[in-house]
Amino acid sequence: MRAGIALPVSLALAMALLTLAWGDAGLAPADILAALRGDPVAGVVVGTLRGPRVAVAILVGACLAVAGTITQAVMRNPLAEPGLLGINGGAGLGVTILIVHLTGPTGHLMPLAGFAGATLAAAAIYGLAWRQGTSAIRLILVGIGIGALTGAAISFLTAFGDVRDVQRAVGWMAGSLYGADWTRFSWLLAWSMPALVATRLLARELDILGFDDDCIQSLGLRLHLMRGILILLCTILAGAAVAAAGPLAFIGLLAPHLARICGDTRHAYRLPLAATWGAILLLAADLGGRLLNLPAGVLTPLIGVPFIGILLWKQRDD
Amino acid sequence: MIERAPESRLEARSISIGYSGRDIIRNLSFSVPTGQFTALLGPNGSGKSTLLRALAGLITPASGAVLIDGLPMASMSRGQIARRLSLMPQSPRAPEDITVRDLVAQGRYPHRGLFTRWSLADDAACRRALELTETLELADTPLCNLSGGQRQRAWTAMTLAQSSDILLLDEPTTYLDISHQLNVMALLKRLVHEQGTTVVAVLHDVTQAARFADQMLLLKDGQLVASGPPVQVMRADLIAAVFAVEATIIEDPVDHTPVCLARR
Repeated sequence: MRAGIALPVSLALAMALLTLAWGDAGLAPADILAALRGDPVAGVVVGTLRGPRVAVAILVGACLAVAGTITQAVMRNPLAEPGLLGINGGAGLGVTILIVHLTGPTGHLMPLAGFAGATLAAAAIYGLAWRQGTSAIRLILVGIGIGALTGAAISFLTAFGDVRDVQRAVGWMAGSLYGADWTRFSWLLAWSMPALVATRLLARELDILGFDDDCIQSLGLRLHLMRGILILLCTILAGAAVAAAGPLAFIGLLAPHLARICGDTRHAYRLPLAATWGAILLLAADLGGRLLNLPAGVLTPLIGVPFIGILLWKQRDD
Repeated sequence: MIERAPESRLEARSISIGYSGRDIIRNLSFSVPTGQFTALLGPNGSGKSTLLRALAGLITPASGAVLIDGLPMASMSRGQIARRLSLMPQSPRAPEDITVRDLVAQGRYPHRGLFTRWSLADDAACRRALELTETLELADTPLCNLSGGQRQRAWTAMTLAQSSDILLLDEPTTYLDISHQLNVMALLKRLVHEQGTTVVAVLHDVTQAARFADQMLLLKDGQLVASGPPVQVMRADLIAAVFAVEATIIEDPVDHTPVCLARR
């Protein structure tokens, strides 16, 4: 157990230090220490430019990973991810409508539009899947349907929208950590921390949600209430992540699986592990993105797609 | 027709249950005898599983009520019900990578609050459940590496860890070979006679039920046809009425319990 968490934590620390150090102005570990002691130049680079970016990357990665862990438990499907709850599609649609249809400076409203779109899509999926309660499979099917619908709406809007607006919307939809600052970080922290703590408190409920409905209820769990609460937490977390960094694919899918490989099946261990892996993945994607001058969101699928292949290959006999 | 046991903690009072217009259970009343092994029998589609799920509080009857300790279940929280009775569904499902120990530990869920830590009592209940089902040596094995019989025992252990006095099981012996079937039945009988547990199990094998159970309940088309001790219920005319088979009932030369030889 302890060894299981030691590896990802040290990896995350290493990635964070690397991200702080690497850039146009390279910083040796000594410079980072100098920044902490108050050296002005290093202080600006670490404190104002790279520091918040690393902090946002860690938190967004953790939010997506925890949201993904919730989705996989609630939907009882290892291939589920927050995108299935309409988070990314809804956020994309929200931002596209904002940019393409409203005039004037709208940049600062993009996170809000993204969050609103994500929440609305998730609410629509949960509402439409409700029939005297929800079932895992119905949530998945309705989720796919709403996902297709938002995708079509985005295509429609971008096909007829002004090219410059569309380009901005598409840029946002790639997902990146450009322009992350401490204000954004504190917003994200305020939004996500209560949800992260609440999810950790519900670790045992997440364990039991993997059972079949009759078992869950005979164990005394209020199934539909708990499913609703967890979907809400998932929406808050993934919605906050989308608002802070745009839709980032695959982290919500991948991180829970990496946590799974590390061993313990209990969510009390899986949640922090997944959060750490999520941070590592996003730090890695962002570092790679800066290296190639690409947004991080372009790099996450490059890590994710081969993994899905492996996952399907491993499950081919089931 | 209905034999009232001297004491009953679980009772169905003229319940009717229907899905999409079709009645599955029709105006059925029945008290579960406390501290006894009751076998629920009937042809496919007779409503056995539905009745069991209603007794577990998983279905609310369209009319009538299921009472536990004199209180209607509909007025109780899921947690209150879970501390009094546990259910093993027909084919329970859990994440395949969970170990037997972790699976059994989930049985303690109804006894733990949001901030309650794992206690010595939890430990003791799990250990007892593992010992009773002889799954102690399997504790660290993941569910996916178990055979059908071992899996059934692991789930039984999980249900036992719930430490409720009433145990409901839906076809606990289906899909098991004969030796594992006998193991499960012997375990249930032991629970009843040594621990005073009340057991209700949906079963298919009439003769096996007659050998192990204290009470038998015959169900047909959602109605109770007969109930009572095996010697009273195992009659050729009742078997014919319920299962539509011609049968001869003889006495087991060893246990002296009735044996059903179905002919046609």
